Order: sequence, then structure tokens, then C-alpha cells
Amino acid sequence: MEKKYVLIVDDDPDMVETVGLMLESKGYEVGKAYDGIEGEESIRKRAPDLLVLDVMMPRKNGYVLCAELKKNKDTRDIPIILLTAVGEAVPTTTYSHADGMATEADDYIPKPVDTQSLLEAIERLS
Amino acid sequence: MSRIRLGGIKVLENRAYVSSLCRNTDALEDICSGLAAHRINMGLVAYAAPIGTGESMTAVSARSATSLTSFVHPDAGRVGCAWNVIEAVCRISVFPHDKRPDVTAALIGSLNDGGVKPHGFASSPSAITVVISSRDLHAAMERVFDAFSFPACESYREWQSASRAQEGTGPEVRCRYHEDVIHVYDLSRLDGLDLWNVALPLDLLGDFGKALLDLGQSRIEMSFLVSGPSTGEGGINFAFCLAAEHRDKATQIFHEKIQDRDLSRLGPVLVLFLHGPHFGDRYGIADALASCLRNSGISPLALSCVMSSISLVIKASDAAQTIKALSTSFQTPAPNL
Repeated sequence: MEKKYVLIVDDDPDMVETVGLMLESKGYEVGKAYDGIEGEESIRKRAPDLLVLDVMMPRKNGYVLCAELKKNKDTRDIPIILLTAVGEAVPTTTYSHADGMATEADDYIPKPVDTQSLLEAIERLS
Repeated sequence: MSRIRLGGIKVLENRAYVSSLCRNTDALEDICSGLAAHRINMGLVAYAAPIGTGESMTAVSARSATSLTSFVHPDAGRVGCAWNVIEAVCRISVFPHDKRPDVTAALIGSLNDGGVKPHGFASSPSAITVVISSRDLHAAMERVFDAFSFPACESYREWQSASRAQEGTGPEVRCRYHEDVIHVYDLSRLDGLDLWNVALPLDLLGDFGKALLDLGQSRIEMSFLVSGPSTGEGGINFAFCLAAEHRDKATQIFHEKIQDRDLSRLGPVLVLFLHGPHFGDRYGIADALASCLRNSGISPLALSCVMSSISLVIKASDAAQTIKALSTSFQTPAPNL
């Protein structure tokens, strides 16, 4: 059976590494990108079966990329899981839980995320 | 020589760097507790026990020189420790290294070519970070972009433009929350390793880089690396992990490139990796680690806290006790390690 391809887009390279290793151990093929623009270019080259998308990133944040992908007929069906640290965890952030819920993402997981919950969401959506 | 294509580069400026060399003791606990007490975010911590040089090395880099140096009191500190404070440094991180020694080799080579003297290095599971003096940033970055290319910026000039464009456009993530038991995304281990230690004068740094390049060409993975000052004017001390199965090949390479200079090896060891969240943007993480190890009577052989992860090198025989000890301060999703 062909492996499901999951693209992880996060500017925390250790987070990308951690989630990538976890998914590879579960039989997924993993793509990696480290900001919104690079993620966008990666999707253009190869559409993933699922996108794990951080919100706070340089060049293009996850909310903007998510909105663009959901407006585009070629990419709107790609399931997207948004990850971000919001609210009490990061008092200085301008992003809120409401912002996340207002996107068209298929799931929204606030950081600190339980990796088991993330894996369950990926398995459910991919 | 073709450039190595990596995923990204991060530069943090306006940082300070404090290092200590201690004989018959170490400053890890003092430094970690000082960082926590002053609510200084972790930034970078590098530690190597005195397995080769006879001296332990602890180094830390954080934002505020004033805060960072406020807990460095030579009179109050441990007897036998020599401290060094550098108030204007920056940290350059490139990623992912994918455990390739040739990535670190290219970084070392680029600095060496640019005449830049590094103060120290530290690896995370994904990144290799170097600390340099702020005055060397321009020369270092020119050379780094000769050695590497990145999707977001092909040249140093592009990187400068992108950095200027981003200034003030987004909030910096600075977490201030405290957890009695720190949540960890992931705890993983890598077994079957040797911990190598080498102290070099800086004029042999290029040769050490060539040794790492040979290791990379031999497909020998390097899962951990820290460095800091060593005894002697301008010396540098490296501690790093290689798979024990490649011991003979690695020995041959180091003999060829640096003539076994002050080289020592300890094994079997393993590395435990603890990842985030936001370890690099929070205070108290390194102190929680040092405290739980001390309370359990475990002596770390080496560690790095950088980016958003901790990499901890211990004797293989300490594995079960260490994982149990970590569970008192860290809530991990992998209790069956």
C-alpha cells in the first residue's frame, strides 16, 4: 500500500524533526518545510495527503496559508491541522484561539500539543 | 565545492555568552539555577564532563548580559572554576543537520575560511548552532552562505533583506509560564554510542572540520555535539557522539586529520532527547533537568539545551535510572522507553 504523504510546516526545526520521526515510525512519508512560503512551494510541487501547519511563522503565517489553500480549488481538499501556542501559554502573542477556530482548517490543536492527540488527528483526517 | 542545501538558518543577535572551566567540580548546577532564579530563557546551554581534559566545561548564552553575568560571582562560585564573560555575541543555527557531520564540518570550514573564531557549538536534534562574537557576524554570514543554500534565501544579501522586512512585523515568542511538571512533546533515546572528547588549539579547527567531513563521507552519523573553551589561550573543546560500531573508522580518521591530539573516548553511552514545547523561549527548563539528575545521583556526561530541545548524554548503565528521574520533572508521552 502506498504511504500517506504528510507535509509538516513549522519554523521550529526540532518540532518538525520530532513530529516527522513520529510519523515515519507510523509508516507515513514525511515532507518538511520551515516557513509558510516554503510550505506553499512544497505543496505546489507535490500535494500532500495532509498538512500539519504551524501558525506563527516567518514570511507567511499559517492562518494566511491555510486561507489561501482553502480558497484554491486545487488545494481546498487537503486536510489541514493547525498547530499553535496561544492564550495563556504565550501571553505576548497576538494570535487567539478564536482566530484558529475561525479558519477553515480541518482541525485546530493548541500547543503544547499532546503528540498522541496529534497522531490521532492525523490518522483520522489522512 | 557545491553548497549544501539545508532547510533554514536562524540568527539571534545581541546575546551574551558565559563559560566556565572547572577542575574537580563543575558549574552546571550553579549556572542552571542562576538562569532559573533570574528568569532567563534558556537560549543555549552546553556542558561536557571532565572525561578527557580533566576539566568540565559549561557554557551558556542568553539575551541579557547584565542578567546573565549577575549570578557569576567568582568569590561565591565553586572553587576551581575559571569564568569567562563575553557580552556581545550572536548565535547562528542551521538546520536540519540530519546527524550529518559534514554539515557541521561545512559550518566550521566556513568560519575558518572567514577568519572567524567560534566561542562554542551546540547541537539539537535538528540544528547545529554556533556562538560567535557580534563583530564577526557579517564575515561569518558571508561564508555561511558560501557553504549552504536555503529555500528562503539563496544569498546573504537576500537574507538581510528578508530580515529587515520582518523587523517589527511579528511578536517574539517569549513564554513565561511555569509548570511544576514540564510537558514534553517527545522523549527519545539513541543507544550504542561513544562519547568522544577532543581539545584543540583554534588553529587546528580547520583540521577537525576536515575530520568531520571524512566522517560524513563515510556515512558515520553524529547525533550530538557541544563545544566551548578549553584550557590554554584560544583553545576549544569538543564533545560529540558517534555510533560505537564505527569506532575503528573514526579513530583512523582522527589519527589522519588531527593526530589523536588530546582525543579521548568513553562508551557505551546513549543520548536522551527531550523536545519542547518552547524550551528555547522559557526559563527553568535546564534547572529542572539539572536538579532531577542531581537528586537522583546521576552525573550527566554532556548535554546541550538549544533551539527547543535538550540532548542529554549519559552512561548506558544509567539509562533506566535517568528516565525514571526525568519523570519527576518532565511529563513525557513515551513512558515505556
